[in-house]
Amino acid sequence: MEKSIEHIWKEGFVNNDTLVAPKIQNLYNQKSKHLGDKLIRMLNTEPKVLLIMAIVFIFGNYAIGNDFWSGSIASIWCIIWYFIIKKQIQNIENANKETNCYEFLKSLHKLLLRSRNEITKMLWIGTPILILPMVIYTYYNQYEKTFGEIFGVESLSYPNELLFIIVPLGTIFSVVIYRLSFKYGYGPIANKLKQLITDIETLKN
Amino acid sequence: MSHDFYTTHILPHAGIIIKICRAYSNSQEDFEDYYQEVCLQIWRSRDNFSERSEWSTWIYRLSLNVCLTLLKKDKKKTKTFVSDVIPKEVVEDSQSFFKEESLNELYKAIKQLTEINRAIILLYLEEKSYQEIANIIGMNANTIGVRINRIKEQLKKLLHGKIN
Repeated sequence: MEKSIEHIWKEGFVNNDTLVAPKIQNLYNQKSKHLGDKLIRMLNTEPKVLLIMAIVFIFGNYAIGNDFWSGSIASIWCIIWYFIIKKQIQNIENANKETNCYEFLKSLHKLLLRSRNEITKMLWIGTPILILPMVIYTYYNQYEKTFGEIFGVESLSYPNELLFIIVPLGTIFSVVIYRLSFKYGYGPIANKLKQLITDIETLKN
Repeated sequence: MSHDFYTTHILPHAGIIIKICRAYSNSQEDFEDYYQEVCLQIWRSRDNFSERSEWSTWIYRLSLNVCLTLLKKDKKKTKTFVSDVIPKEVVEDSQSFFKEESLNELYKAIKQLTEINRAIILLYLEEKSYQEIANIIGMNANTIGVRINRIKEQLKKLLHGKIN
């Protein structure tokens, strides 16, 4: 005669040995390893994009008839960024995953925030360096024209000195865009890191 | 998670957590991950526990939610979809975790049920009332009764000839 499922269930769990709880150990080790791997995976896409951008800037500029140097400045900027990101990835990969997951998580969090701050600083300095030569070039090259005429909007009859406002505006814009992309791209990982660090700190206390 | 909290608040209910985690995981490694994650979430969410429900009921609900979330994540990784769909590959991957062969067979059969039906039958086998199951799952108690009968029929078919 077949046993009922209720009977199998009860009989199966009569012996307490059946329900041995696994030991809670290395609770955060695997989590921290996964987070580190995820962060590296995400960061690894950036150098590839930067290399493509560097190539596009050089040949794209040349293709639309601009001077070779104007594209080169942007490309050099991308290549510098490329090396900074590569260095950051290497730092994260070198962070010791084996010994202490709390230290590992702390170093990941620190590296992530340092990466954000370094890139923000780079944008504050690099963007004006990138834009200024283009603005100066345009200013002298189209000296006779008004601001509106340069952009094909004749009604904007401002002096072409106004072109220089593009430098601070462009810089602020690039920083804002970067910070927003960081917030939505890396923000969840940064929050998770912070949560795990807080968990471990709570345990320590 | 403090050792005291684990010993006093989780360990007395480890049985049901183990049963739930076993029903949603396919390997010992997965099972241990699921168990740890459930314990961690219980500890993290301990302040959200309200006296309106019993601690054990709250643990049931939380364990199910964590296991279902982890299952969704795992399925996303393997690019399959999650829903009221019967898993096909589960039986082949399942190992024999228990000494009682008939219990292993029952678990294999339970793993062939949909995710929601698995939760319902686990709670039923733990002798929870229809109303309690309805509260945990978020369904009407009458629907639970009908559904349990159907699940039992399904399990009987799956187990037919496999156990004495």
